[in-house]
Amino acid sequence: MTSNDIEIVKKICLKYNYKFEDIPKWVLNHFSPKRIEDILSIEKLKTDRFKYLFTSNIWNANPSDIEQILDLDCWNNPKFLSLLTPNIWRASLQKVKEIISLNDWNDSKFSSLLTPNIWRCEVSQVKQILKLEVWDNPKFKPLLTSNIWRNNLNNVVEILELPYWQDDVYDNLLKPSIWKVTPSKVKKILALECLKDKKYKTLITPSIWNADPSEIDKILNIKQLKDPKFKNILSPNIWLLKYNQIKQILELPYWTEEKYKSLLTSNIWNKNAEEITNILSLPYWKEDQYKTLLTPTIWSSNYQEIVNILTLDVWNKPPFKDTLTSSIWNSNYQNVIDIISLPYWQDEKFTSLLSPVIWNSNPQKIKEILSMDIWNDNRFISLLTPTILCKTKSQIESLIIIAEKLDIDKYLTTSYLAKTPSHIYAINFFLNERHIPSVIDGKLHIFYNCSNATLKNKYKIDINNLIKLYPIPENFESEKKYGNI
Amino acid sequence: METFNNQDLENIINYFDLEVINKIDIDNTLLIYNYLLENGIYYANDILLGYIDLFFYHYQTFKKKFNKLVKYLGNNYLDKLENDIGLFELMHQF
Repeated sequence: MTSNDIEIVKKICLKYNYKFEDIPKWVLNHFSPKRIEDILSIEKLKTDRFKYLFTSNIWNANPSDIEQILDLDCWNNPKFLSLLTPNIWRASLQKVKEIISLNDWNDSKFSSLLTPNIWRCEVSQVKQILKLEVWDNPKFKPLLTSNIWRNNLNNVVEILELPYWQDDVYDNLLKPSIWKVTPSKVKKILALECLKDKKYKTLITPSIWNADPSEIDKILNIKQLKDPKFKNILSPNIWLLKYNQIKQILELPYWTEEKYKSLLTSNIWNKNAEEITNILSLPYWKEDQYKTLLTPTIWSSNYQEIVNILTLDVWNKPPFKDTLTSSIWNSNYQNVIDIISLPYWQDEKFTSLLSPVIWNSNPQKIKEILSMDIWNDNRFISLLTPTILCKTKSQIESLIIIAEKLDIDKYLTTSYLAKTPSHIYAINFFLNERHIPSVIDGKLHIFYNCSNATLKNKYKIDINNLIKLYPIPENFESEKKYGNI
Repeated sequence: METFNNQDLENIINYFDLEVINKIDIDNTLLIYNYLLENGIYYANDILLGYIDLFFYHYQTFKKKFNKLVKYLGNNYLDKLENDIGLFELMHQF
């Protein structure tokens, strides 16, 4: 573009209220001022409905195609809206029309394929992929995802025609991740003799695509993996690491010591030998007080987090004294600090919640539940047990509302919270129909407190059938009764 | 022995926070689940559905706590637990 043309484009930009600086250099080098103006002048691209489509991709598109694509009726059909992203400018008007008009989109099994990745493909390829007979076989259904469009037709056909899929052992591999693997790698891996051994059946999952085919046999033959003490370690996650990394981990000196043996589980493959060494060489593990913290959950954390958490000064005094167990590795330092700092622990009624389970929650969630007004009501205070923090506020609300509506709110126990609103409603209806009181001697009827399996085995009541017989009315929970909940 | 069905899975998904579900250690959960079944708790499914928090204890810790619960409840502990699954919550205190 000449300097004169540049000046013209600047004026065009001014006219259409567009920043000249936002026009990529390659556009200025390749296209005329007229073409730039043709695109900037498209009115539809300025509307709220379509303005998100104006990205750098658009400069590659033909201005007349852009207008006609935006005018297509198909965008009024919600099922095609997922295709309307800036990627559409990779396609010509003709291609868009041809793809949209395919009858296959009337078949619901193909609806997950309506994604912008489709614009990467040639129309003929899209047609041939959709016509493949395998899609009539439900076991191939998980493969119908947009990743399929990242492959070419030959690769797709080559993978789908492999004889292995006739054997159920390989069903686990029929997942979308297969489209990220080349047919030759799939073939090399599945042809390996070592994987035909039934004892390795559980290792045949999509993670195996991470492995180098030439290393699989070597990995399975590592002598430590045949040692009974390593029996819990063989899991599909092993394919996340290379042969040398696996060897390094298995040769670490710690595994001969009793206290470290329980750490040899499948999630160890989330770490490398250096990280494992750093963690296990921490001085804490020499002290009895910390030994119970050595469980496989520790592999969910990392060296720095572990050090930060263990150096906190709250673990030797109430109320947090008994909360330091291995479940803390499911949390992180910031979360632990934020939970410890919550004001609720000054109030005795909430300290019963301070069990190791608390580290599976987060401060926002704890605040949301403990700030509920119901905890100021004596009827519900007995429900304050650690399990409550695994529920959601709305579930607690639903159960309380139902208890009030059914007039059993004064007799709730923690086993009541282990049920769903539909269970409670069905049990109540069942008892009422038989004129059996829900409350006997100031306690909820045993049916509210026992397990579903006990109801079935001991009392011959199938709760799932009961729920179908006495479904909870749609608006039953909607009329909230309790104060601010 | 009851097996897990779609309704159970739906309950787990509907009834617990996704954050809680994501933190489930499948291996540990299975060990506890089988331990419960071996110890006469044929309704282990319901314990998992109602008290998922107990499955966050390490298997060895869970065993210790369960044994303390059994001792606390006395000889007819199986009847007591069968009639009130809320008693499992006491394990947090041991």
